[in-house]
Amino acid sequence: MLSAARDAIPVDSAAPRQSAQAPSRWFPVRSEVAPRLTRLFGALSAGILLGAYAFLSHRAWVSSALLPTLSSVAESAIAALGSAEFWLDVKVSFLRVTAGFLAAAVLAVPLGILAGSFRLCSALLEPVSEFLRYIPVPALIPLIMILLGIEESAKISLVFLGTFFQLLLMTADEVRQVPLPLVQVSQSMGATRFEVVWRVLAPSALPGISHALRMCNGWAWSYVVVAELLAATEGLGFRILRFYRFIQTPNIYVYLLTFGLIGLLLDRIFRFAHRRLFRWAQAGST
Amino acid sequence: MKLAIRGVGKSYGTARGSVTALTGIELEVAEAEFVSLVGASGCGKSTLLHIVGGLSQASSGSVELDGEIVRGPGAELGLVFQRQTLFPWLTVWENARFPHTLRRHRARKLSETEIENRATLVENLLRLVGLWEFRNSYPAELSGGMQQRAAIARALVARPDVLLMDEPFGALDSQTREEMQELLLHVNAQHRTTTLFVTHDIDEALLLSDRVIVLSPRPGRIIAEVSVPFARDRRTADLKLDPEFVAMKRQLAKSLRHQPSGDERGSFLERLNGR
Repeated sequence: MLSAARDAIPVDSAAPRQSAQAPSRWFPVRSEVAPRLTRLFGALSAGILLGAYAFLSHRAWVSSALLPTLSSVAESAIAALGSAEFWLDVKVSFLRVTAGFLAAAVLAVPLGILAGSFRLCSALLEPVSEFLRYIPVPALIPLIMILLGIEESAKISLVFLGTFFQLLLMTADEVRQVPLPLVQVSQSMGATRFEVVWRVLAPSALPGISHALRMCNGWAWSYVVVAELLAATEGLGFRILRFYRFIQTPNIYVYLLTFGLIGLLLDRIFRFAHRRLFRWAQAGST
Repeated sequence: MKLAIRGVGKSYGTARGSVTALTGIELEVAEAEFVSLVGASGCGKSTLLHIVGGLSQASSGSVELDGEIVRGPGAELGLVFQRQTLFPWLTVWENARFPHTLRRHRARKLSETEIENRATLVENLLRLVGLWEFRNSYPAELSGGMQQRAAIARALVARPDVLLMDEPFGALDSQTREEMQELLLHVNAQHRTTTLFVTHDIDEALLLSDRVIVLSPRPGRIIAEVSVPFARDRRTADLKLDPEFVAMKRQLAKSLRHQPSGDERGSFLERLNGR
C-alpha cells in the first residue's frame, strides 16, 4: 500500500541523484567555507568600496566638495593626527559618551534586574520605559536646553536618556530568560530571595546584559553627535558641522572614519572582555 | 510520618475550561523511605512533586513535612530535575558547595572543625559520584550523566529532609541511565535520605524504591501501590532479570495499562490493532 502511494507521486526519474552531488564550494547554506575564501571576500568588499570611491572621486563630473580624492583625505588625516584640536574633539566626545553611558548602566542594570525578578517592579518600571523609549531622543533637546542650557550636562543627559530606558528593558528581558528551574533549585537549597536575585539571576543574565551594554554603547555615539551638532563648542559632531560651513570635505571624511574606527575599537574591547569574562557561556553550554 | 500528602488535588483553568490534573492524593512517606511515583506522561506525577516541593500550590488538600504544612520551597525539600540545573558560571566544585555559601549556612561563626567537615562533605560527595577529578570543569564541559551526578551531589550537600527527584535520568541514554541507577543506589546506601522519585520507567522504580505508587492518567489518582521486597544488597542491574522482579514488573505494567478512564490513548491503540 505504501509503495502504491509512492508511485502515485510523479518524480523526474531522469534527474540526477541529489545525494550524489557534492555541496557547493562557495555558497553552502549555513556551513563553513575555506578560511581563504572568507578572507578573500572580506578583502574584496573593502577593495570594491575603496576602488569605487577612488574611481568616482577622480571623475570630473563628481564635485570634489562631495568626494574629495583619497590623497587629499589622507593629507587631512595626517594633519588631523598631528593637531591638538582633533585629539581634543576625540577626548571630549568620548568623555561625554562614556559619562552618559556609565550613568545609564549603573542605574539601568540594577533596576532592570529588579524588573526582571519581581513582577511588581516590572509593572512599576517597564510600561513607563516602553513609552519613554519611543520618544525620539533628539526631540528632547529643546527641553534639555531649557533645563540645563548648553552645558556639558546637557549632552551627557541626552546620552543618558537615549540609553537608560533601552538598557533597563533589555536587562529585564535577559533576567526573564534565565530558566526557572535554576531559581527553583536554588530555593530548594535554601537561597533567600535576595540570594536568588544576586547569586543566580544576575550572574546567569550577565552575558546577555554585557551584550546589551555593547549595543547601547554604539547607540550612545549617535546621541552624542546629535547633541554636538546642535549645541557645542568642541567635539567630533560639532567639528563636522564646522567643516561643512567651510566646505572642508576631506576633514569631514577624516572625522567619519574616526567614528568608524572608535566604534570598531570599542566593539572589539567589549567582545574581548565578554569572551574573557564569560568563558562558561561559550558554545557548547546548554 | 516524615512526609504526608493529604487529599491533594490540582486543577487549573485553560482556554478550554478547567482541567483537573490530580485528585484526592493520599500518601505517607516514612523517614529514610524511598518512594517512586510512576504513571503515563501527563498523569500529573510531576505536578504532584512540584506541589510537595512547595513550587506550586495545591487546589485542595495539603502537604506536611514533620507535621508542619509546606507553604513554599526551602532547604528542607531538595530538588533534582530532569533537565540540567547546574549553575553554568560555576565549576563543578563551586556548584557542589553552593549550598554552603548561602546565608543560612553562614549565619553563625563556624569553628575550624565545622569548616573542615563541610569541605570534607563536599569532597566526599563529589568522590562518591565520581566527579572529584572534574571538580574544576564547567557544566558545559560535562556529559549529561556527569551533570546529573553533580546535581545529585549538590542536592545532598544541602542536607535536605526530603529529596524530590523529577525524572532525573529521563534525558539520558539507556546505558548511562542504568549506571546512574546503580550510582543512586550506592549514594543512597551512604547518605540515606527520604526520597520521592518520579519516573515513567517501571524497571527504574522497582530497582530503586521501597515502595512504588502508580498514578492513573488525568486526573491523576493513586490506583496501585506495591511494596518492593528485595533486600538492599541485592539491588543491582542483575536484579532486573530475577523472575520475581519480572513478575512484579508485569503486574505493575498491567495496572498501568488497564486504567479505567476517558483517555483516548487506549482506544486508539485498540483500533490500530484491529480490535
